[in-house]
Amino acid sequence: MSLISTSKLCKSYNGKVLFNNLSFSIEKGDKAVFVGDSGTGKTTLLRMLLGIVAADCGSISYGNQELSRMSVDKIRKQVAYLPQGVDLFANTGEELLYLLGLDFSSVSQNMVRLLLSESAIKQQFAELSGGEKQRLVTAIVLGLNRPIIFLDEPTSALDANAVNALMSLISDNPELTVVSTSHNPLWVEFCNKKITL
Amino acid sequence: MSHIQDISVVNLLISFSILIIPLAGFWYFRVGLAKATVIALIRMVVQLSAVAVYLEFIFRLNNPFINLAWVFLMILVGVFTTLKRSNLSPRLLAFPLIISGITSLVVIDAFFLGFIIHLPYVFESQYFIPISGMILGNAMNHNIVGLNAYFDGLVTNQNLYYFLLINGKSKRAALNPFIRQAMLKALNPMVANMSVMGLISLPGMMTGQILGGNSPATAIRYQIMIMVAIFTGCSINLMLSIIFGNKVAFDAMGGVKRNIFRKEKA
Repeated sequence: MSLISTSKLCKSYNGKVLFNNLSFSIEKGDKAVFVGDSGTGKTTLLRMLLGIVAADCGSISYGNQELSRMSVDKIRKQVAYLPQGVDLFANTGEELLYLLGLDFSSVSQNMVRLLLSESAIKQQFAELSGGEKQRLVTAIVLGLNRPIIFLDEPTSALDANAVNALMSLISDNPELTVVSTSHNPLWVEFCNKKITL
Repeated sequence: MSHIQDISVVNLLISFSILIIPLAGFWYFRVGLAKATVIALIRMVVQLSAVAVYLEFIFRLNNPFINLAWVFLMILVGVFTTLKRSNLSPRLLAFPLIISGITSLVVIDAFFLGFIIHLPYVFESQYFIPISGMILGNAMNHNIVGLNAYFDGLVTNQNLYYFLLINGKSKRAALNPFIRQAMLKALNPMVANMSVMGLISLPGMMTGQILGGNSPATAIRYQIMIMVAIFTGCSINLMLSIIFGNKVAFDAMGGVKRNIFRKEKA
């Protein structure tokens, strides 16, 4: 049985059909990426899988459990989520750790692997570059150690070295299932499952 | 204490002439506030004159049911004004806000009128109506700021809410940063106001009592009590409005309902 599957999913926004009858499955350990031009609904689809955005029709299942109001809390306990623009709502990595109830020890190794110094956790986001912020928040989200991770444009501010570091970190955990959106050819190449919108 | 020097209607009308100074300033600096100011002044005069007439009537009757009905009417006006000014949906939020208003008022009136002032008759119109009115008027102003900050923050920064909710926090914990922000925005000015009271601001109730012939000591005791009542009432009202509002503001998946605002935000 697939870890995540969708059946005949459809969604329109402001009268524009984003996708229709979209069915796919993601297996445990898959590194999946939604690809497509801007405005084709990649982020919307990711958010639908998380129960943030409702589908117009079709269904989403995690294993044999359909995503619904009854199951959403249980399903969300298995996932971690990195939205876009995460630096907008916290001042430091430390503040994010506090908000999520995480210890520094659970993210320090990830930070080093993502080419960050440990002191970055205390630095104001305003003092960090876009790439440093993105790596820091990614390190924190990975520190949640959930079996499924949703990454919305995880490489949008990263240079090639940082993208390689992220891919290396994720590759070390073959059990981890990744569901992502991206325009980055390196990242798209890295993912074993491409779902085109 | 000498009796208060009454103001004749003619003199009151003459007092409006001094408004020519700010109005001239608005005109000179092209502030565009003159029309709104004149309309507000006319409304104030009409409303206060009407209040004078029906308060005379209500005070003379001093009937608990009429007093309660009057306060309930004030709650309704306060709730619908709050929702209109903060652009929130009356269909979703009117009931939770009415319950919040009633609850906070029951707590404050029972405590201050019954327990602190020891009124033999809690619904005594002379105390019950003006003190409830002061608390509701202040609560309305702070609820407008607080509820707008809360729901606007939730919609504008929904990434934070979902980030926390999906990454393992309970709904309550995911909402905490927004509640904290709303409470700070709404109540901080009142805390600042209390801290300078008597130094750079002479509160209206105290001034009124002194002008009415009471001793400054009595006036100040009442002022301190009413400030504590207002601060507690506003805080309880805002907290309950958020707590009860949360019961209707989210869909089954925990998302913020888009129709929480009268005009949906993009």
